[in-house]
Amino acid sequence: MSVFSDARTVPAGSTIETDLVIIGGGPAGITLALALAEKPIRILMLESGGTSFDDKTQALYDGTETGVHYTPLNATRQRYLGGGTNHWGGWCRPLDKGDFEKRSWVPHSGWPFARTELDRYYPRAASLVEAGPFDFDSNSKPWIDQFGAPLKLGAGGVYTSWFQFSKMRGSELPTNFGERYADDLKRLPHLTTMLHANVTNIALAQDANSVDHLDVATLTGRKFAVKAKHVVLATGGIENVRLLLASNGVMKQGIGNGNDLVGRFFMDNPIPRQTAKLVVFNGNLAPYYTDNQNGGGAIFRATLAPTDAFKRTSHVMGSLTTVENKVDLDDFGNAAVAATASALGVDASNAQAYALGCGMELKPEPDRRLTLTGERDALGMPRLRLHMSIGDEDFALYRQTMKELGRQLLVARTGMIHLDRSARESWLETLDWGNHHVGTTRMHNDPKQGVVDADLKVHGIGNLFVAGSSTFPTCGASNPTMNLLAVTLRLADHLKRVFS
Amino acid sequence: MSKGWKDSVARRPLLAAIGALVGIGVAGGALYEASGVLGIGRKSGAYEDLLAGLQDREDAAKVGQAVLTGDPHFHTGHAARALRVRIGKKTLSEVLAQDAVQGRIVETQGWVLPEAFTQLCALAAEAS
Repeated sequence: MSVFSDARTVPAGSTIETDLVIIGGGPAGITLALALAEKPIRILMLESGGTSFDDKTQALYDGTETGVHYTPLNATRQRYLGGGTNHWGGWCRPLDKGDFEKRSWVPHSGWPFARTELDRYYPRAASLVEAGPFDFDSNSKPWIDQFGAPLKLGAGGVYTSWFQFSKMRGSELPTNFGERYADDLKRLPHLTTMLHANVTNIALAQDANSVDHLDVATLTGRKFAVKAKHVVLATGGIENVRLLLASNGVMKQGIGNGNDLVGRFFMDNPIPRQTAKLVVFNGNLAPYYTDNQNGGGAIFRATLAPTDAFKRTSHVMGSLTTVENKVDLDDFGNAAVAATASALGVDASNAQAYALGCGMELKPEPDRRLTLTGERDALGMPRLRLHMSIGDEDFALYRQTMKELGRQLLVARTGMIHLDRSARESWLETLDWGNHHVGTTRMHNDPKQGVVDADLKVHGIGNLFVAGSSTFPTCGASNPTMNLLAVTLRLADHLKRVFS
Repeated sequence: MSKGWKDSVARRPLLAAIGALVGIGVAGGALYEASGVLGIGRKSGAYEDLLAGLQDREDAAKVGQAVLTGDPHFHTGHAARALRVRIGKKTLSEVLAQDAVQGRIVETQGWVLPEAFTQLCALAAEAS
């Protein structure tokens, strides 16, 4: 078994030639490398960090944020092999079919392909994150018999859906790609994984139609070049932008930015806490609503989601509501529950209330964006500014979904909903973010509407591809990791055809 | 003079009295409804037929107070008439479930409730 290569030992001023360069050793980069490594393609994967956290490398992420409160840019990822999986929650759920559709009520929506295009990649993606059998869409869960039936809801727009979790080993975090696949990366004969290698410039050929070479630098001051037939940029939804915009030697607006799209449409999943209270009249709620459970070869948890049909008819966005902790009601709440239940002819003497939380889907918004600033990092790269926003409408639409859930509980006579938040200030009080970086190099077949095409190739650049959730035109409510792996596996198939 | 005549004569004041009482009652009911139309507050058992369906009237009245506070234009007379029509021979729970099925839900202090239930609660608050 070989070892990882170290960029700090590469002769200064040298040029490394290879077939394919993958910039970034996160989940997308590692997945792509693993998927292609059996092919006779010489692959070089360049990772900025090493195999563990380092302050100086992490500081390369420093940036500024404006707008609504957002996680500091240097705290959303840990910059070493494994990337986004170095600290993540392991929540996995495929995007809904409707997430791929052009939605009349969602400007800029619509993927260039349908969810069915990813169906064949999802099982492998679920396997890579070790999330158990891929049967998210199945109606007959193996754990129902063990843990009890889902909460009964009347017919309507909200249903019980499922998360499965990346494997957690005892107290350890979910699958960390850097650790989990290190041996595989070292073992593959055509793959070189080079650590401490920071790409500082994607140098285009003078005709601006292809990448000529990459400029690479280390924090120790070493500089060299890499020439490859094809390049895949996989540094995440924030750093992909920085490298494309900063690589402005030939295209002054930045690579792929002829239509001023790179960095725009930044999306994340807002996670407001204590959005509502769920009251279950008989007090019985299956344990998979409140806590992760083991069953059927998976770690799983229930969530309450709007159906695609409800989204279409009510023009709401995606959301995934989770049941959190038990809560007590105030006097008015107790009166409302007692009176409502008795009027419905239901015994609520054992009623139990729970706080609800959620992850929401934001509408794509071009002004929610990343731009370069005049500040420079230790490698001389311009730093980024993120302007973050969330609209009142985003909250209102989620509220509409919760109201529908309340209606369905009344229809079934199983419970009630209390909507805890109304005013914007109230929503913002507890607002957290998923730190899911989506949309900044969006995919569209029209170069005027997207940075990359349906094959994830940068429009107008023959040999440059982008991998990761930055290519998603809309983010859905599902956590992006497993989904971006499916899209990356699709890219791998495309690259196999390119190289064959 | 036949006994029957005497009886008939004797009954006339009684019938008149009954008629007067009925008339007073109808007029009173109309006036009562009118007072509702005019938005004049009142406390009486006029909604007992509706409120009889509420098992937990005290708590319902608390909810109803919030309904009235949240909707200053809530019209008890109109609500009572509409509820009588809607409930008819159905049970209250059937009506409420029907409200939910048909999307007739309202929000009261954050609680998502069937519309008819909030109306009943408001009547309970009025009557309390």
